[in-house]
Amino acid sequence: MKKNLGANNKVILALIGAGGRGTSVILSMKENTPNVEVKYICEVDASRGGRAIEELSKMQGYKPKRVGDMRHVFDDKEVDAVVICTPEHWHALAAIRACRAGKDVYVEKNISLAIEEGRKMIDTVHEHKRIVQCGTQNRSAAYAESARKYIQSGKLGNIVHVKSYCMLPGSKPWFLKPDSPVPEGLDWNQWLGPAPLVPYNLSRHKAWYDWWAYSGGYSLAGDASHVMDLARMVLGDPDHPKSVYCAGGRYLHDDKRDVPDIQNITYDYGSYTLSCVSSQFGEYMAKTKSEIRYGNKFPDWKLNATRTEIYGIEGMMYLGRHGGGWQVLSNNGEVVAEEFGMFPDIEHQQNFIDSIRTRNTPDGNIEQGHLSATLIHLANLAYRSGDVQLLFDQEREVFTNSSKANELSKVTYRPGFEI
Amino acid sequence: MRALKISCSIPLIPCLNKKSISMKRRKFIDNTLIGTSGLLLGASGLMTASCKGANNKVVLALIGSGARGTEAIISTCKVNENVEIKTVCDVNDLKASKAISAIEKELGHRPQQSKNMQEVFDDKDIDATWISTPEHWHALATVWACQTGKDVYVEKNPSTNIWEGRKMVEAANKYNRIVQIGFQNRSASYGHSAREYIKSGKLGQVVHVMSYNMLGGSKWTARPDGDIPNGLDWDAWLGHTPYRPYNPGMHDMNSRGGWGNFWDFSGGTLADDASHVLDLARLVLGDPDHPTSIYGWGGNNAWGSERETPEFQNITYDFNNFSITCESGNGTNYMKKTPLEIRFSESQFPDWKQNATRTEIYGAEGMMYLGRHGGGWQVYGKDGEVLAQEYGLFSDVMHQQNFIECIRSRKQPNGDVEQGHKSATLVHLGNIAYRVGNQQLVFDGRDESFIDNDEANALLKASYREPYIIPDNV
Repeated sequence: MKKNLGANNKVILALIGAGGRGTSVILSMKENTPNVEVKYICEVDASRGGRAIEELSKMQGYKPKRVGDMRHVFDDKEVDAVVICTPEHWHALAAIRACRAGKDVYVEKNISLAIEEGRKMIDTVHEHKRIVQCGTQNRSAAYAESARKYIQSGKLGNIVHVKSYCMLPGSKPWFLKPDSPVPEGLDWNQWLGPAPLVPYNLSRHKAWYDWWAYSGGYSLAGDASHVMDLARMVLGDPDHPKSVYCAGGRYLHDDKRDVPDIQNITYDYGSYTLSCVSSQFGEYMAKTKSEIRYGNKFPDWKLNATRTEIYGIEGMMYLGRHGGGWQVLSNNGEVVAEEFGMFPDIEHQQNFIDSIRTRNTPDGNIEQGHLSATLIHLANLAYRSGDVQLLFDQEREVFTNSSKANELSKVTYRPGFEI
Repeated sequence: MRALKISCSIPLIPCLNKKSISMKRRKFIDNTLIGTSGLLLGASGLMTASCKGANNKVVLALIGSGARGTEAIISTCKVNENVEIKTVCDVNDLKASKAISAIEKELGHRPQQSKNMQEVFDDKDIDATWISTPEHWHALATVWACQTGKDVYVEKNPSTNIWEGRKMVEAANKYNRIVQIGFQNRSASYGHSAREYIKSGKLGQVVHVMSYNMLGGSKWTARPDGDIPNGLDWDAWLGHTPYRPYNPGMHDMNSRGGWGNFWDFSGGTLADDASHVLDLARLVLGDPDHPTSIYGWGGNNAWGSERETPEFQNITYDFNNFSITCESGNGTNYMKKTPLEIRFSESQFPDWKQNATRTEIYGAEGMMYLGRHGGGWQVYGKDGEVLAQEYGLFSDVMHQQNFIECIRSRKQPNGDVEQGHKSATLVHLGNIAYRVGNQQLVFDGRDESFIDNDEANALLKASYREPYIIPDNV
């Protein structure tokens, strides 16, 4: 630790990746945690970050510096922590660089692009004794903790089965745009970072979540990651599954996108399975609405796109991420226990800043973040290996029945962007 | 109609397809045939059932006279005209006499008792057999019935392995028999309207299907072997399965017994009930062919029983452009089958959330809830709006009527044997995937075998014990 942060010492932050989510996180952190300042907005695209700079100027009385290369941030000894909200392909590298530079890290989900990246993140965090808060914010929700306790108490009985849903609405055919000149103000080389160098393409830049090179998929890595991380937490954080099976495809719009429009996944945890359907189509499934996230209401579970169902022998629990809360149903629809949920974004940010000061392990710790992120990678590798079942060596984190999957699991990094 | 064509094209035999033909006259013709021409002997069995007029008497025999069989065959006689039960056949005297009393009480006619189904097959008076034995007898009894010119109603699950299911299809086709598989949802009008709805494109392309059979249960405990009870032909009860000592955990003189926990006799909960759910799902989806791949998981972790057939199973069938999942077991007592008042009402839907035996069909435009046994169907759109729906009526009676109609008309029955076999195969595939260690299996549907998996292929067919043999060439 380069300096001793007391309970209320000032924490100096930098934002890396100032898109919509990054802007919202940094502004909320500034607003909802005491004695925090934002010194840098780091963004490879000059057209982004303006709002963050403007709002922060008003809030803290001075303008955060705009930089394009994150190394400026890491070189500045004054910066205590970074908030990483880049596309997914930058998460691991940026987080590792930050740790090595002695910074604490808030890193958005999905925290890695590959299994081995997550493992390296863990090693680095330990080596450099850093606080790393993974952006799976449901870990800071009080209702998640009470759901976990409910199951731990045995009231739900033995777990028979678990089903997670991330059946997002909205799907359109996708057209690959032709390559084009790099837009002014964008450092395309830095945007690509560790990914292979390719000519600028709008479909890559603005729809990066549809490419394996930059993402584990809009629905699965972008959202199912939250649902399954919450499910894992409530189940008492099980270790890696023994096997994963995934059937999926581009059934609706066979438009050459990397990422399928539906994946139907089963993880084998030995005594039960976790199933997850991750998809994007139709208009009838709905994410939990704002008035539920911030109010004392439960979702209409039947058509809730992002729920988990936990079937015990005594009852079934509906569980909603992002403030959906939980309800346990027994015979004849009787609700035997429940708790409303509040969207825990602010709590997660506060927990991060608190942890920076106390050096206590944060709620979204890297070990669990890695185990949850691995579920995404396992499913994608099973899909990409041809809709197959993969047997996973939990210790070594490799597949024992597929060299193809082991091959696909490897990430190559461009010179200058190696981990 | 092909049965009619073949059997009535034989010269010098008056076609029996006339309304006024009486039982006596039919017997006369049979006797004449037997007396006059040895050559035609083999055809005589076919004749009796093949050219029946619209209201000719249909004579049934019950094979396997437990509660379900007795109730169903009595109902069949009540809801159809001119149907009679001549014989009740059971290897268990107690069940046979109970069934005979019930039939006499309900129908005013006392059928005769038989302990050996060969007597049923040899009886020229009998047009059709009602097979409601335990599952391990279904296929062989059906094949024997077809070979002797009987039509067949056979309960689900129609087979205990994929090979014998195919033999049932072959036997039905070869002997031009009407074989109605006891998947009665195929006679439900709401099943067909749901199928039409999807076919019309209103649900949009089907992207995913989830079938549930999440029933209740409790811990099952094995019992020590015991003495064979009086009045039971244990050897015949075992049928083709390997001979073993009598065990009261497998068999019960008075009630259903525990055979559903053993692979030799049953496909377990999946065969018993998920078979209906999956069969209805297949019907509504337009009867897709075999899946290309199956991932099946199972375990006894709910109650910790030492059952062969697992307490819970989670299966995915990959049909290439969509998949069906099936979650089936006995670990969730709070999930409920569709209650009777909904099965027989056309003004209520189940509480889908906790309905144990529903199917959810996810289309691009809407999501269909579908309930077997009278659950009906509802299509949900944006903001929970119901876009279309139809109440359902439990279609047991319709299926019984359809069977008798088809015996008379020689038309393909609703629960036809090919589709029944394909639905039953889903059960076998899920079970085999579990039995080989919770694996994914790649299935060659044309050959009905697994690709590159000897262990799984070894479970395609059971071993058959003399004299209970299904021949390769039926």
